[in-house]
Formats: sequence, C-alpha cells, structure tokens
Amino acid sequence: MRQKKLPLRGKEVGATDVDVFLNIPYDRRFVDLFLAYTAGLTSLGLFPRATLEIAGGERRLDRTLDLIQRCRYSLHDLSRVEVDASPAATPRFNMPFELGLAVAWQRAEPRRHTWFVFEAKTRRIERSLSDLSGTDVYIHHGRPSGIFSELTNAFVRSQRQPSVNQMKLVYKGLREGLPKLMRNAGTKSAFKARVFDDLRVLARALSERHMTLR
Amino acid sequence: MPSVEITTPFPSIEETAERAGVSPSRAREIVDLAEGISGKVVRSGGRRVVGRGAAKKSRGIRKRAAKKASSKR
Repeated sequence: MRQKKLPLRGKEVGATDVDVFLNIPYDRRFVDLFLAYTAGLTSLGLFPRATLEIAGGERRLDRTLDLIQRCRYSLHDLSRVEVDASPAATPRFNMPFELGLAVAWQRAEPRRHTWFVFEAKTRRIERSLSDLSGTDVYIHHGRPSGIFSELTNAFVRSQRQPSVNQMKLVYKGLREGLPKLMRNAGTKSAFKARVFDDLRVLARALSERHMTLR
Repeated sequence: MPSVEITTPFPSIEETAERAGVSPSRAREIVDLAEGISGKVVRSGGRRVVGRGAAKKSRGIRKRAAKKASSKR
C-alpha cells in the first residue's frame, strides 16, 4: 500500500540516507544526553530527526510513522524507564511504542531501515523489554561520553570518521550556545521545534570547524 | 556490536539549514554564534574564586576596625 507523505517542518532535500530518527524522552534531566546525541550524530555527518518537528493538527501517530519511514536509521533510547514523578505517576510508553513501529517498518523494508537501541544500564533491558533479548543494546551509562563512544561503535565512516574528542567539542559548543537559542525562540525548554532546528545547524557548523581543525 | 558504514557525503551547513527549515539569515547568525563558541578556550582551574562569605567577613572586620580606630581618636 502506498503511504501518503504528510508535511513536516523544514524541507525534504536530497536523499534521506543521512536521516536518523531520534527516539528520546523530552524532559529536563535528559537535555545533556539530547545535546550529546545531536552533537554525535551531526559529527558523523548524519541528520537527527525527532517528533519535535511534528506540529499539532494532523494525527500524531500518522506523522510519527511517516517520520520513521523517511529515516534510514533510528536510535531508541530506553534509559528512562522510571515512572514519571509528576502527578499522576505514569509510565512512559511513547519510546517503546515508537521502537515497535521502527521494528515493524524494518521488518517490512529491511534494506530501508536499521534501528539501534541505547540504554544507560547493562542488562536492564532484559527486565524492562524482554522481547528484545538477543538484541545488541548500546550502553551509554547515562553520560555524553558514553553516547559518543557507542555512536562510533554503531556508525563507521571510512573517510572523516570523527573522534570522540571532536564530538565532545561539538557537544560543549551546543551546551554553550543552547541558552541563546532558547532565548531567541522565547522558550525555557530545549525540546521545542525551533530550538531543535537551530541546534542542528549549530552542531553542523561546530562539527565543520572541529573537523577542519583536525 | 554490529555497525553500519555511512557512505553518504557530509551535508553542507546550507543544506542542513534548509532541511531544518532555518532561513539563510538565521543560519548565518548561528554560524556566527558557532564561530564565537569554538574560539573560546575553556580551562579548568584558573583564578581562585573567593566566596562572598569571606568578602563579607573581611568587610565587617574592616568596618569594626575602622570604628574602633575612630573611637580611640
């Protein structure tokens, strides 16, 4: 069945082989790791995508699925398995649900999609999502340096492979620039569409600079 | 651990901005911001920061000493 493509923010330019669907929790405690993923992926020459780009209106599920289908890769961070502390305490189902969508899409089109699972703790996924037993899970220990290290394990470039230190420099730059980007967007949250747009450009500019300084 | 090889070329800053829906003028501002950021050298250590408490205390000591000195005159 031919899928109707729904509009998203930004323009769909060129091949989507660089697009990576980033499935992460949008909470304040995760900002550093969000920046780390953005820095690491951009340093690898990839283009992070997230449901932050999805505007309201159309059915969110359709747009999420559409976004996953546009991406060559997807990263699913399942490190936030705790129940949300804010009342009423609720477990988060979005991330495992979106992983399920990606798995199904990869089953349907094995050559068009590859998914990766990231976690903070070794072996925890065996309890939280035992259906993934036997799957290689990338463990980042809840640290940006862990994310950089695992990203370089997951993705390899024959030319211009960035080092973990270069990724760290991009990450530090993003941390420094984030307050200004949030001020420009008139928000106090890093998880806003405009901030995410600007972050990707900033990460690209920083990675370009640090790669040429190599 | 399985890994995938990326063979696609690095997207340019302009292409990244276009795909992210960032206008060329805003992209230029962000590039300027990046230039400013990456030029800075962050050092650990450096000048020792004296706590405000110590400053307050020394101000208080100076104040009392001055009062004492003026009462003696």
